[in-house]
Amino acid sequence: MEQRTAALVSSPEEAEADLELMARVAASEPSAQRVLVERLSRRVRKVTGLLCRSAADADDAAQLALIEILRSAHSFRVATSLERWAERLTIRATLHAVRRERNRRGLIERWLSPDLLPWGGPTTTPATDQIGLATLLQRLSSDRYEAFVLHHALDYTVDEISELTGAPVGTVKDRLVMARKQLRRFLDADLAAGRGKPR
Amino acid sequence: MNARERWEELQQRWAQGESLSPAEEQERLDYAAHDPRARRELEAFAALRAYAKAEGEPLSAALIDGVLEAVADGARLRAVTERELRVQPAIPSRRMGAWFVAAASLALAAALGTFALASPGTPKRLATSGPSVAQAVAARFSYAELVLTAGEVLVDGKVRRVDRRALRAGATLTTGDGRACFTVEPAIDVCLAERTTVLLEALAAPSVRIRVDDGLALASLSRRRPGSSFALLAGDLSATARGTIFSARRERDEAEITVVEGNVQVARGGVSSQVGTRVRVRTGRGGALRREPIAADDEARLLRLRPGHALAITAALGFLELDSKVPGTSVSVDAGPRFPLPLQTRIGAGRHLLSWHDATGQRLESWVDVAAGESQRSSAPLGRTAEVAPNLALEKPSAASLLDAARSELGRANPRAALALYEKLRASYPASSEAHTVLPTVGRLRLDLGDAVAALRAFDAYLARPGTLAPEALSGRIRALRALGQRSSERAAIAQYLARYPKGLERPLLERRLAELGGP
Repeated sequence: MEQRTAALVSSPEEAEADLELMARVAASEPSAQRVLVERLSRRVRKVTGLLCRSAADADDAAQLALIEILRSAHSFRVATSLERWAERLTIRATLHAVRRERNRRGLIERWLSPDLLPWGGPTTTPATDQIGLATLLQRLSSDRYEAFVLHHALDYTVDEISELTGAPVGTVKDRLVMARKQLRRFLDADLAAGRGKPR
Repeated sequence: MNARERWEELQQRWAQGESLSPAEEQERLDYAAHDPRARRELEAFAALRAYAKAEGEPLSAALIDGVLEAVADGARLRAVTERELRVQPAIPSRRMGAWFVAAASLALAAALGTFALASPGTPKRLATSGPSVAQAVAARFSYAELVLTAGEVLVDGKVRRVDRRALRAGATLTTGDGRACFTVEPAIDVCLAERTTVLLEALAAPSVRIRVDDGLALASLSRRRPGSSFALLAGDLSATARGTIFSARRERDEAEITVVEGNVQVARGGVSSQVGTRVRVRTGRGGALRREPIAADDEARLLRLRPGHALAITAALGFLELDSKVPGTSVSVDAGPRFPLPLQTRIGAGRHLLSWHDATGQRLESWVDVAAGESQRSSAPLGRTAEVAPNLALEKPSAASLLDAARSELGRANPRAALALYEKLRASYPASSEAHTVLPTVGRLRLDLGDAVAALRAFDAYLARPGTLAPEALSGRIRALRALGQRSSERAAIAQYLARYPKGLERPLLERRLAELGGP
């Protein structure tokens, strides 16, 4: 929590510089827009990569998020750090894109053979492969996965996750509990199979 | 309870976001040092956290350029690049041979005019080159979703409100006395007038078709890509456009297409002609086609089918739900057209003006703050009093009722709505005891919502005239100072807390923080 608190607020000098940058972005100044996008793109892509299940989806979501960040520049306030503000917009954009993609996928999958997967990984994992953490997480349902990543990877509180996902606080807690139990089972099975540490 | 069960309990509490005391936290970590299963779980969590904190790969220059171009164009079209969707043959199962997978791929690919090559027996990802099957299939669908409902709106005969569910091709939308808007991606908004029925005849790209069976529908769309089109159909008239605002109306045997902006290709019986801005084409009972200019009034009437706010589905949109207990109440948002209630709509993040109108013609204005991605509910402020005495509809709610409403919003985990109500209470009854008592809660909400400056102001205001909530206010003040990075003030505030409340609940945590700050 200590690290997170530090990341929430910029120093006064940084805040002033950020405000100026965002004012220029809000005024549609191309050079400022480029500076902002290049500054945030790594973090944005990291967050979308965590929340999306395929690289293609994560790239799309990163673009959508950056567009939203540029278009929302006028609403930036100095109370939070620019990075944290951008991260919240990125999460919202990504969750929205993920849900939309899920709906679309549901439509399209009706047209495909059951053994063809247009997105994501193969239907089964070879038994001989070492199971990495990413693989374990991929087995969680989308709702649990989102809550788990937001809380344990991105340090959002249960209340914040409730606000970001639109799910009640109790539901978020339930998702976190179930995700942990599921992960526990995967880890136990993995340990019993004699495989190494999660990658 | 043995040590393992105790650890399970602590770990479960920690995993669901509960704060553990420093002693419990230490106990949780200590146990894992002796238990391989527990250690493995903690390592998994640590690995995830480390991965999230590590710096990511930059986006490619092409993707960044795509973003900047999209913003520069001001286009509503959000798909910046074509997604490179590829078919991945599944790992051949024991039930189904590898050759069958390959054959299925080729059959589907051939059916769609593309080729997917799968190497039988290869257990890793295989990507096709060039246009892929999935890409071709994906391009065949346009996503559609309801984005505004006012009054009763039916989809396939069932009441439907704005949700995040897709509308399917073949669905019928009906408005009774209500209104509705839906979006077809990318960038087509269709709004329906009262007593209108439309059929989503085709959502398959590149040709999206909406049939107006009865009533009036207005479509606004940004420019289509070459080869893509959108059509509104009314009777035997079809109007196809690639970027414009136009409407279709059908009433018994009559049908008409009205172009508000741009050009539309109107066709009937295999004969088509171009219709320009502010022109209407209509069929009469005799079957003859008439073309006539439209008056400014007609244009304004059509445009008022659209709400005053943007409807495109983006992350910068929130969700607004408005209702009233008084029959006949309507509302306009941001000085847009009036809608019957209940109203549900997607709306841009920010502050919006609501103008409430009751059946007697009285009007009351209020403001609502909508945050991106969040839901905001609001009821007509003229509701409760108007039920008792319509002429007193503008009477403001009492401090107690505002307090109740704010607590109720807090109970529903809706901090922004609660904060708005607390602020309204303070503005409406600045001299009341409630206005002062709610200050620590206001500060805490402000802090939770990221506004440490306003939070500090609220805590200081309460502490200037401290009451029974002074420990909470002082504790909140410390958190606000910490968030603002004011270390020396934070240190002084902690010292003040420890001196005033030596048995305070937060003493252990604050002592540790004081040590971190380098205090005594």
